[in-house]
Amino acid sequence: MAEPLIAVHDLYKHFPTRLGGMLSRRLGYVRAVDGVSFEIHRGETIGLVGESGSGKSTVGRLLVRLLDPTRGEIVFDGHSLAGLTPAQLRPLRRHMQMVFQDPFSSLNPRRTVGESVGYPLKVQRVCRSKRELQERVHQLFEVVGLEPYFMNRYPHEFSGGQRQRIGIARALALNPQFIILDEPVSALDVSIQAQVLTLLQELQERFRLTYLFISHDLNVVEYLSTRVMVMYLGKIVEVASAEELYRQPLHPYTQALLSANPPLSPDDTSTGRIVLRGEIPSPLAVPSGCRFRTRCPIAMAQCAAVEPPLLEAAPGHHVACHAVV
Amino acid sequence: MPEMILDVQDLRTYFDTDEGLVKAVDGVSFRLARGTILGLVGESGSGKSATALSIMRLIPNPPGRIEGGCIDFQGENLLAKTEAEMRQVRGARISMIFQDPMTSLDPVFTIGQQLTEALTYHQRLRKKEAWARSVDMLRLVGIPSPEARMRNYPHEFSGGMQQRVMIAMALLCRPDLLLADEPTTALDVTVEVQILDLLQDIRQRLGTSIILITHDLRVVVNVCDEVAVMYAGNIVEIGPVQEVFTNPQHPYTLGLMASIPRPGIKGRLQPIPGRPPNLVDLPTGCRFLPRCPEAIAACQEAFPALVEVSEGHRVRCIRRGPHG
Repeated sequence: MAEPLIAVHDLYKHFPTRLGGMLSRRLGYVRAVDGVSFEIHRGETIGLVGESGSGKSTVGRLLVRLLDPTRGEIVFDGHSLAGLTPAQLRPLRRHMQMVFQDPFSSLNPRRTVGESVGYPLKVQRVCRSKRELQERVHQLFEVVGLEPYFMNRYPHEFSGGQRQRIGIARALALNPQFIILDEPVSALDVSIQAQVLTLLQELQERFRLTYLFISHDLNVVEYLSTRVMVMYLGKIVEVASAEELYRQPLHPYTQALLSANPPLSPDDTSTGRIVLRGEIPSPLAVPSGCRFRTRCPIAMAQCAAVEPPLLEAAPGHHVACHAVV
Repeated sequence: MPEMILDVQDLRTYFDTDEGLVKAVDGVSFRLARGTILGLVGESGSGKSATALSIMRLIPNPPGRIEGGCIDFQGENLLAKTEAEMRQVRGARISMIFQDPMTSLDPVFTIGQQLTEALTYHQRLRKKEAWARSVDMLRLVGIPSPEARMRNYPHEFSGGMQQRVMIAMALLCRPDLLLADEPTTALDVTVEVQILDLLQDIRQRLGTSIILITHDLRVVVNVCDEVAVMYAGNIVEIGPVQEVFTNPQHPYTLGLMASIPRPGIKGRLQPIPGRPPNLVDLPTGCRFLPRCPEAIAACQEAFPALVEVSEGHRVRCIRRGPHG
C-alpha cells in the first residue's frame, strides 16, 4: 500500500480554561481533541462528521498547524510537522490549504477579492512579476467559475456562494495537494450548496486533490467522501468506507446520528428512529470510560470503567465500542 | 370539514431600501386548519420569515410596511387591528419562536421570572398560579426537574434546553397558532429530532396549529402535513406533504430536490443554475424563468397563477395544470 499523504498519531489538543486576568487560576482543560490517530491517502476525500463540540474543526486546524498540538505527531508527505519553526513550516504550508465555513468573515473586507486570492502567491513569492501574478489570479477566477473582471471588487459585493468560490480560488492558488474543507457549504442555500459541491468534485478530478471534508451534514459527507470518520467528544468512534458506514453503522452513536437524519421520501419515515437522551456533555467534564455511555442506549457496566479502543471490526472498518468488538 | 383558523389572502409586505422597493412578500395566500402543521420552505430572501412576521404584525416600520392583503385569524382581520389590540393577540393567541433562543431570552432574569410574566400579563393570574402553570409547562416540554430549573438563568441551559424553554414560553397561554422560524437550525441533529418530536407531540396534545419555517426539506417531510414552497416572495407550489414530495411539479421544487444529496445515490447532483432574482427588479413574467430548464417564450409574458393540478395541490407554472 502506498505511503499515506498524512499520518496522524495520538494527537491531543487541550485548551486550558482560566478564570480572571493575568494572575489567573487554571480551572481545567477543554479536551477538544483527546487522542486521535488516522491516515489520509492520496486522492481520497475523507469525511469528518460530528456534532458541535466534537472536536472536528480543531482536528482540521491542527493538521495545518493553525493550532499547535498539546502532543502527538502529524506527518505530512513524509515530513513530521511537530516542532517545526514557522520558517521551516512555510514551504510545506503551500501544499496544504483550508477553506472555511463562513465566506463573510474569511475574506478581508478592505482588500479586493483579487488581492485576497493573490495574497498566498505573494507570501510564497511564486510569481516573478506583477503581470504574472495578475494572470494567475485571472486564471484562478476562471477555474472556480467566476468572471475574472470581478477581481477588482470588494467582498461585500458578492453573495455567499460567490464568496465561497473566492475562498476556494484562494485555497487553490499555490497548487496544493491537500485541502481541508471546514463546513464549506453549511452557510449556503440548498441550490447554491449543490453548485459548490459539484465544483469541489470537478476541482478534485482536475487537480488530483486530497480533501478532508469536515461537516455536520451527513448527506453532504456521504455524497462527497470515500471514507468517513465519526467524532464524539474529542475521539474518533468509527471509521469506514462511506458505503459501509452508511449501510452498516456499528457504533451506537453513528447509528443514532444516521437515524436522526431522515430520508427525503415521505414513504419511509420513522423507520426505527433512535432518539438519544440529552445532549453532548461538556468537553470540560468528559465521562469516564466510554465517553458516549451517558447517552448510549446499550451502555453496560464495563463502559463506565474502561475506555474502548478503536479496533478493526471488519476489514477497513474500525469502531470504538465494547458491545461491538 | 376541519375548522380553518388562519386564512391569508394576497399578503404583500414591502421594504424601502437604498436600492429601491423590495417586495419581500408579494401576493401570498394560504389557509391553515386547526391542528395542522404547515411547512413554509424556501431559500434566504424568499419571504418566508417576512410572511410570519407579517402575521405577527412585527414588520419594522420604517423601512417595512404591509402594503395589502388580508390575514383572517379566527374570523378577525389582523391587519385591521390597532397595536393595543395586537398586544392581546401576540403571545396569547399566536406565539412565535425563533432560531436562536439565546437572543430571545433575557439574560438577567431567571426562566421562572420570564415565564410567569406572560401569564400575569395576559391572563392576570396570581403569582402562585402562574408559577404552578409554568412548572407544568416546563414538564410538558420535557425539562427535567422543572421546579429547580425555574430558578436558573438562560445561560445555565444548553442550546436544546433553551429551545425547549422558548417553546414552553410560547405555549403558556395555550395559543391556537404557533409560528416557528427555523427552530432547529442552530441545533445538532440528535437534538433537532428531539425538538421536532416535541412540536408534533404538542400539536397532538394541545391541538395547536403550527407554521414551521425552514430551509430543510427533510424536516418538512418528516414533521409537516402540508407544505408551501416559496420563491422570490411567492408561493410557487403548495399542497399535502405526501402529494408534493411524491409528485413534485414546479421546476423550482424539482430543482431543490435534485440539489440535495440522497443516501445511497452516488450520481452527480444537478444544481439549479444561477441565483434568485433581485427583489428590487423583478421580471414581469415568471420569477423563476432565468433559472428554469423548462422555460418557453410564453413564460416571459405574464405572471403565472397558482393552478390546481390535483386535489389540494397547486402550482404556479404555466407548463403545468390542465392547459400545461
